Amino acid sequence: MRPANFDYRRPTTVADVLGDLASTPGARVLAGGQSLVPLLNMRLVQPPVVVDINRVEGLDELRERDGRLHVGATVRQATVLASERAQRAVPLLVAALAKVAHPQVRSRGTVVGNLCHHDPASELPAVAVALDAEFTVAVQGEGIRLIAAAEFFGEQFRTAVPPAGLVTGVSFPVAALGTVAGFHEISRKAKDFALIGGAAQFRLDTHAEVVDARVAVTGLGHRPLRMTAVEAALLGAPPTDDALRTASRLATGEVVAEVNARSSAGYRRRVLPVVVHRALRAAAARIEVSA
Amino acid sequence: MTATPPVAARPKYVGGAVKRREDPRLLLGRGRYVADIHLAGTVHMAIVRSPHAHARITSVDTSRASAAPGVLAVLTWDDIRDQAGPIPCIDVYPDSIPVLQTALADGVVRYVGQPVAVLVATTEYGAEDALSLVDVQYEQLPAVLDLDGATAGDVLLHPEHGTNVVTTIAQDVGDVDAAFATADHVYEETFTIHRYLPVPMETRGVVAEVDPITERLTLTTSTQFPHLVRGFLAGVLGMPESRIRVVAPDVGGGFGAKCEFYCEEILAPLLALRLRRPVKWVEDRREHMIASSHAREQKHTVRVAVTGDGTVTAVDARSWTNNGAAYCTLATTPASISSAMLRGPYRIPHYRARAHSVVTNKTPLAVYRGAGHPQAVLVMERMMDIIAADLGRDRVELRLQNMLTPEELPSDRGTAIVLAGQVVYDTGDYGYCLRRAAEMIGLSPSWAAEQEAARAEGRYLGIGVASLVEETAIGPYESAVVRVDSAGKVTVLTGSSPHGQGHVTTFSQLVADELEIDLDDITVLHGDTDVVVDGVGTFASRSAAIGGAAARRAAGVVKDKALQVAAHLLEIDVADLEWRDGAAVVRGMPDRSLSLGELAVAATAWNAPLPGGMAWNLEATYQHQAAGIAFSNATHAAKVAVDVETGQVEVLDYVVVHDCGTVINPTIVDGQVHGGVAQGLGGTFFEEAGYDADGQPQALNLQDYLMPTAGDMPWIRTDHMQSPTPLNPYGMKGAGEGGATGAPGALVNALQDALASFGVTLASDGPWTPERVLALIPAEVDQR
Repeated sequence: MRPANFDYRRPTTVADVLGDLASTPGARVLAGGQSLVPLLNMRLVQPPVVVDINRVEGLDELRERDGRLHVGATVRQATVLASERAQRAVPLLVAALAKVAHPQVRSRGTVVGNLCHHDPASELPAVAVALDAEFTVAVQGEGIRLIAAAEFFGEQFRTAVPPAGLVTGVSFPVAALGTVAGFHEISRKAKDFALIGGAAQFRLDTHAEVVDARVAVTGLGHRPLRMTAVEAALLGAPPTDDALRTASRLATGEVVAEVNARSSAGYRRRVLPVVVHRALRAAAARIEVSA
Repeated sequence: MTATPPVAARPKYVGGAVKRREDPRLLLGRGRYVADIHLAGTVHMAIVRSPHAHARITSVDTSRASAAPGVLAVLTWDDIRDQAGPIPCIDVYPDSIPVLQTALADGVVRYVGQPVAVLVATTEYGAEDALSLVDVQYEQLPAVLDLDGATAGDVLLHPEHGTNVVTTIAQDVGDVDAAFATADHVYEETFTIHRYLPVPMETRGVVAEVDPITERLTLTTSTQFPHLVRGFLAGVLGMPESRIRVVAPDVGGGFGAKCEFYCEEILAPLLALRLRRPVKWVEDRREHMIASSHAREQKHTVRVAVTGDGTVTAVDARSWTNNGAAYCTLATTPASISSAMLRGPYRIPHYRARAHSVVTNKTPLAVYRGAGHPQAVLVMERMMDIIAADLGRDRVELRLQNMLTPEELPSDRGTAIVLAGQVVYDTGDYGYCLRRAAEMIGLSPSWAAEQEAARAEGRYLGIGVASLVEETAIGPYESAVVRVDSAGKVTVLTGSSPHGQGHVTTFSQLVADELEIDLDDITVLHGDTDVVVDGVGTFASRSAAIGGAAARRAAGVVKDKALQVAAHLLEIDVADLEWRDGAAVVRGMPDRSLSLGELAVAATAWNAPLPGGMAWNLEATYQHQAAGIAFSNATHAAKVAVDVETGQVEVLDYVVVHDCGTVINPTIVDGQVHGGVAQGLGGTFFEEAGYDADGQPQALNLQDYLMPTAGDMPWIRTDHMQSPTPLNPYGMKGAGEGGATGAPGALVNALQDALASFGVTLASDGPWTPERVLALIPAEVDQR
């Protein structure tokens, strides 16, 4: 469990990062290192160059702008989790972050790094898909490219980031007043990888009826799936537990057996409505709090 | 209101919750483990391991690796076969078939991870890089992994023996067949116990060096028994023991995995002797999962004879232990203990067991906290619940009816444990522990109604109990030296080398009470065969009872001698002296006394000779020999809630009523119980060393092999009962393994209780993952 030889670069500008990435095919970006370093140690990846972006100026910003919360590429998960601004602006992101690994991991791990690693059981990709997050990608010679979450996630551990591109940040729409969010996952033990996880967010209108419902599930297949039938069923009715449960039963999606094989496809299929229901219930439990 | 308090009597340390003397150093990161040892000129060893479960080695080409930068040596079996004998197994039976390991594979590999070649390089990175340059060609052979397949014998690991069943242990008590012939009810079940990994926090590691002056070899190794390693190494290398020093520095857990003698402990010394440089190897976690001993895996088929009134009259038991590819140093002990101890606390006058050790293409299996006990407890305690359910009897009452009472002890059980001897239960009140545990967990006559009411609300609750008797404090002996210096400070040397148990604290408590001195005046040394010349080690919950007794007895001998020296100096009869507060005091004249330090000075060489040719110095060596096995007992009780929509199990409450005789330090005993329960809970719900059909291990890291963490643990409530053993003067029994021994039985019984309404009968220790639990629950169960 010792990495093979690699060169280490630590540029301070995005331009230099792009230069390093472009000059050595197979170079890997190091941010929080919580996935890359174990992979290096186990020699599951053997990049010729590791490009450390932690000294790049401006990538550690967490700010609200134009109705979106922007999270830079080196912003730690723990920072977002502890941020009142983030809690107010993107409550679903914070709810999901509480389920990500342990405090030790979150104090180093980054939000963007987690999304780019794209573990098929990871919590944050479901949030990104549910909320229509947008990724900012710098590409040499091209400038900045925006990629919507719906297009970002490829097969497991793959993304739409072009070779030698750098994801400099991700943004989430700021939640309207009255929005509630919940995340629920089933894992084999406390703080372990999810077998399956559900992200749910909705808002109540002045009639206390559901509007703008967003539900996505992680762990089923290569990428997080939006539960559009569940979302549609929730709209225009009060979020009673019966209503949430009834809507959850419409949860459906292809389960890929060999992806996230910590549990069988049959198990994940069986508990899919349960996870959706509990995520919705967790969101609904916030209603009084936010009112 | 300021009354002068009475002068407090010196507090007794034994029985007190003394804080661990080891902890400040360890908690401040000042521990010194094998990996922390950096000797000048150290070179680094790495092992080429088999990627196949079963294959013939057709060629090994070391030329590319040898030419790699920094590589100093590459060795295969052919290079060392004349220098290294087989790895000993010390618990074979007379008719065991010898299937011993060699330091490197001798032509055939029999499990993934088996060492094939070894190399040394100037850096640890260089050594790891060079591994892929050793070209080994294999011809794959069919692998056999499961007990049924191995027992059938279609694939043989050692064809020359014609079977994979390498040891069969027989235990015969009474007339089993007659008891079955007259039984009113006969129950038969087959249980499977899966494969665990011990996973100490510190993996194994060695540093070997040759002293240029004395030409002696020093092996620093993360082991539970440095003295035994010294003997094994001497035997394997054909070196005199006097030329070998073995050091166990801080050892970060062992749990049985370091109660073994491993190939790396041979290879590093061989290379150090060859290269005349310190050779270091620290096992990485991935290696640990395949290269350190595995544990537990067994299958049991039991038939139980019961009379109409619920008396269990006979058990006829067959078991198979999946020993992996060859014998470990301790290979048959799990099967031996399971078969000798299956009846636990129950009378059951007629008993027959045939316990088979079977070789398969998995990593060799050895002892792990509890050795064969947890399996036996699971089987017996599940059977008691099965019988109670069938007869409509209360689970606690049925157990009490069949339990040995204190009046029936001592009780010769008619069985025997390899290395340890005859099973004769000494003391204990098994029924008390059971009744108390049942009361604490809330298993009362109203439980069924409570459970039913909760079920109506969609909450599936269960309570399980498991009662156990466990072999502890095995011999043959342990040694101790107690020495007083001229300042009156005391050094204790113990041959029982710890790996986290807190020997420095508990042995200090024992010696401090014997000499009536402060803990801080005592230094406990261990773990270095040049400092402590004789010793056995730490395993089988033996250290406090055997090593602790030796230390306290040695202190007593020193005290007796100090009194004689005092009598000589004061020119009075020794009978006119008493020992008080670390000094010899003239009876009735408290001002006339000589302190331990004064007496130690008087006994040194520059003072007048002692009378009657008494040896100089206040020092004594004592060897405490175990006259028999001390048996601890306990009842575990667990309360669980099952989420019937997801299959997740929450442990709501956990109780252990434990009896390990005299308690030296209740905090340490509690810690031992807690840690053991964590390992039992881990095995019941998370941990599984699985293999695929080709024999590839499925748990190569801690993402795949799930260990319990604080977040998974219930609050454990303990209660201590103290039934001293007569087998040592102080009454201590062993405390280290009872937690792990009882937890699987109690937890599986609790899960069974929670799911009983679905008509299931659990017959394995899981691990009960959410998926496996949910599979027991009909899909149409509506939680509301």
